Amino acid sequence: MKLLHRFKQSDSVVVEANTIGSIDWAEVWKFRELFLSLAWRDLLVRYKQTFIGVVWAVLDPLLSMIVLVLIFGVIAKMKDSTPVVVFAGMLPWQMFGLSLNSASNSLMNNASILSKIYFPRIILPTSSVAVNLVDLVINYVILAILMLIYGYQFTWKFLLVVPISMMGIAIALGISFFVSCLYVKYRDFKILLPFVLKIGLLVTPVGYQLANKEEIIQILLSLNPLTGVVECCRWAVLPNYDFFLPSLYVTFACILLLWYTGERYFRRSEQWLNDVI
Amino acid sequence: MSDTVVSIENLGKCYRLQHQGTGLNAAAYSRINEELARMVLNPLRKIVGKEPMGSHTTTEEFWALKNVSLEIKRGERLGLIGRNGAGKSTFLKLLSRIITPTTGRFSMEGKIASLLEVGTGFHPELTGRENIFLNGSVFGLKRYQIQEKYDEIVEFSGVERFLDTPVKRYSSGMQVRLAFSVAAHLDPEIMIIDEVLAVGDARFQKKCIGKMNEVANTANRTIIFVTHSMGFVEALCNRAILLEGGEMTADSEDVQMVVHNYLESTIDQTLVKAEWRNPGGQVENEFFDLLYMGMEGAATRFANNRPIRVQFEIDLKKTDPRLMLGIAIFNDENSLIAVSFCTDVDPELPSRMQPGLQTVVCEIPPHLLNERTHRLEFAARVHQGPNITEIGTCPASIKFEVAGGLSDSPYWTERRAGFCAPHLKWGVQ
Repeated sequence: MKLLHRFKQSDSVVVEANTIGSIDWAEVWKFRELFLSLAWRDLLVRYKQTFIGVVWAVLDPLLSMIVLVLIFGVIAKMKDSTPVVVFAGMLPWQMFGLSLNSASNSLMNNASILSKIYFPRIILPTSSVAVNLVDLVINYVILAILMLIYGYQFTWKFLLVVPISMMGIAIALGISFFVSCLYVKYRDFKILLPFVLKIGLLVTPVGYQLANKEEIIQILLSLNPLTGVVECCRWAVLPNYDFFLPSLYVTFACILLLWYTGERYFRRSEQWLNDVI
Repeated sequence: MSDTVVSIENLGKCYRLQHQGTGLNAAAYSRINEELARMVLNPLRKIVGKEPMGSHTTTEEFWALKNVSLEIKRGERLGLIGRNGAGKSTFLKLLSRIITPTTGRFSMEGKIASLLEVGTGFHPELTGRENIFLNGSVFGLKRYQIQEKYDEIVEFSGVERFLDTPVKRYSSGMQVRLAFSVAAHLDPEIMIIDEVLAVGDARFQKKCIGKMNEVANTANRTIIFVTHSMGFVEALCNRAILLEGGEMTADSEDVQMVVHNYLESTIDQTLVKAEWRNPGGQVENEFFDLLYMGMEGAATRFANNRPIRVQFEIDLKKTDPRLMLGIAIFNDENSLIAVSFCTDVDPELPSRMQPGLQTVVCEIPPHLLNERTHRLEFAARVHQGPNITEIGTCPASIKFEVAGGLSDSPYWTERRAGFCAPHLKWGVQ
């Protein structure tokens, strides 16, 4: 009955103390223009007052790849840590890392509008990851160029790289539903977040591949939901890649769990955000 | 569609104030380790039978807003007045849905635009132009709709030259001008404005008041407005609400009455009384000591049709024909109504005063002062010489109220506007 009323008069609002409604997706849709504006703003702001601007978007993944190849391929002497193998793993990882960072900081970074204007708060973390789609495209092109240089065959599976990377973004967003709110309350996350990403890079098979490793290592690493994403991306890029499928199940389960609980946590947190910020 | 656009029931907001320990344990934000430690250790302590670990912080409840119920109708221009911390901003934040209420509920119909602080919703890195579009989309407008209003917005704000400058380089006045301009041109049905216009200069403030009047009258929009400038409230609002300590103490369409009550309450009751005694050392001069000043019989309330007598006790040091004792009469808005000296009618009066203690009396005739609270201030000067006291700053000051007795005629029973309420002579020729 109440719901019906809300749809009849789109502009009318009822606010009641101590009621936590579900996130009103119809309302979120009404604010889609804001979603796009915020995403566009993030893109504009990103390289303002930087010296070489957009070049960073290319340099960052390339340099990271070179470092990883040096560490795992040259120093640790893993034969299969070649540029294409490493970059195929790094692409979805990069999407995850960037998205986790921007989405988790989104509430704090937008405190100025958060504390002055009403809009569905969920727009902030979700719109903040949209910018990373630009990085996705840039990385995708770099990957294609690397594959050409090293003489890899393109198959239809190469098209799957984009949706697979989206799964990395989905995990990041799920985590950020918790972390973005917690960050408002506990500034500890400022230190915690880079630390987790640093450790994560090592316990996710980014610099090395999981195929042809002992089964126990495969199972252990597959507990990390990112492993499924990273390995799946390799499977899409490399020919006849021996993909450890169970890791992907973990990924799917994690995304569902994170989004379900995260959405609930986020809308409960909306109640106190501006009391603390 | 009903005429009520906002209906509020029993609205309240409670904050938990944290009092933190001082020294090393004081932290600006909650620390996760402290809470985690409590979470893990307290169950263990319970098993062992020890007291649970307390927090370093103690919390206290603070009701910023309590039991506010009201209905706001379409086209009303509601002014919220009250001291700092009375809950005005909390009220506006609740209505803007920035914070959520602790008790009660409210419902609103129509598009809402709120202007809560300087630079509302602007992103400092973006240019003025980009911010206009961002701000518009925050209000839920499409890009082409903003484009239609764009020229008007820019013209009203008067920041054309700086449209391609990042907003972080704007002065606060420029930011407010742009923000108000955007909010006013986006056709909100309800406009919520906190004390932001104070930043702009007088010309822009006037422009804003004009714009708000125009919006409210021609488009029948509702405006909810907070300000400390009583002039704005009287110029703009057709209803006023007084908040005190989070509670609504007045709500009336008689805006002047609410403003009057508010100003009345801001006068410090302990400083101004019906009697004033010199604590020693005040109003010091070579001619006399002022010992006492008071209303006859220490009364505080007089009818308009009775004379009002004031007494002064002075200890005269020497007779001087140039000495002028007097009073200045102020109303409750601290506007000076009149100044009167004992030599105004009888120039010989100072010469008749003998050295030593004596009482000087002044009578304010009936049918002169209007119905409101007045303040009498002692004044003294030397004829063709210096002022002994400066009018408006003399500490010797008392307060009384004029109420009732305006006229026996049934045609004049209520207080009228104006400083005075005299009986003028009327006739037919």
